[in-house]
Amino acid sequence: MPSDHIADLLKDDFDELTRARECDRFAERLLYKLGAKRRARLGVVTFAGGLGAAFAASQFTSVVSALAPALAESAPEMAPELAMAGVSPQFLAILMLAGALAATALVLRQDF
Amino acid sequence: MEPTDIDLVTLAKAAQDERAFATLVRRHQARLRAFLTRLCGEASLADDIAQEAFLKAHAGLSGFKGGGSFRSWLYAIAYREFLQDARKAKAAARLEDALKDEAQTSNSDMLHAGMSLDLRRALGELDEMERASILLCDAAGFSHTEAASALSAPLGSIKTYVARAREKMRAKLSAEPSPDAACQQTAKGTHYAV
Repeated sequence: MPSDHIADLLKDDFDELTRARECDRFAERLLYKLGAKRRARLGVVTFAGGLGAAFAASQFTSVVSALAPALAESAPEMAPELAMAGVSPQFLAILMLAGALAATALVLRQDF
Repeated sequence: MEPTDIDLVTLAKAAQDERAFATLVRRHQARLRAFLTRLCGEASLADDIAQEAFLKAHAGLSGFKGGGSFRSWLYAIAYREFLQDARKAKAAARLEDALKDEAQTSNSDMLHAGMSLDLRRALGELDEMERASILLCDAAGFSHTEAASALSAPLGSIKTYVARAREKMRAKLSAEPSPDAACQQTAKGTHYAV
């Protein structure tokens, strides 16, 4: 029996084995397992984020009223212009909080 | 045009792109599992080893420097996993058991398996490096260089292993009458007697 015949037999056998494994669920099961760590991290971050958001919402009014005078004092020369444009210190404080939230969301989006 | 393995590895590394790694898994899983199935003689064990190899490849993707092909790097991980398992559980004994089990399957299965069972027996009698070398080079289509990289062996040794394995298999397949053939003959004889 020539050696190249052995190679042919091995190759045929290998191709048959490969074909049988191409369409089963191995890859999906493996990828699900690979995603488990990511999903666990997402769960923890979602939980922590939700808790933080709930706390922030409950404190929103007091945070805004604490921030607004500080903002008004930090740039007194801007105050008349802002008042003319109809932008209150409260609105600026809300904008600042929304910016922080958007930045957090951006970082999380890259992570997941 | 389909992205190459190196493109996908770069994407998976740089952008933490899970889809890129998923494509690599889908591209290589069937052949890797076929290789491991013939190497260890047991499909479920081969799948466990393949799964472990992919998990390790995913975790250590940053360690792939791109000097060789991705598949030889992946197969090297899988082969190390196989050796680790073989050391733990004496895979040779298990391979023998698996072959015995297969030999006890029904006649129709044996007829269907045909030459493949002889082939598996002949493969089972090779030592690990010979078996891995001939499977990679003759069955999986690896170059000798890729096989050397996957099995962490010198190129010259791989060529020797492949040649020796072919010779042993040729001798085994042409010398011994196949147990399948004997079984088929017995079945025929019985049929005619009836």
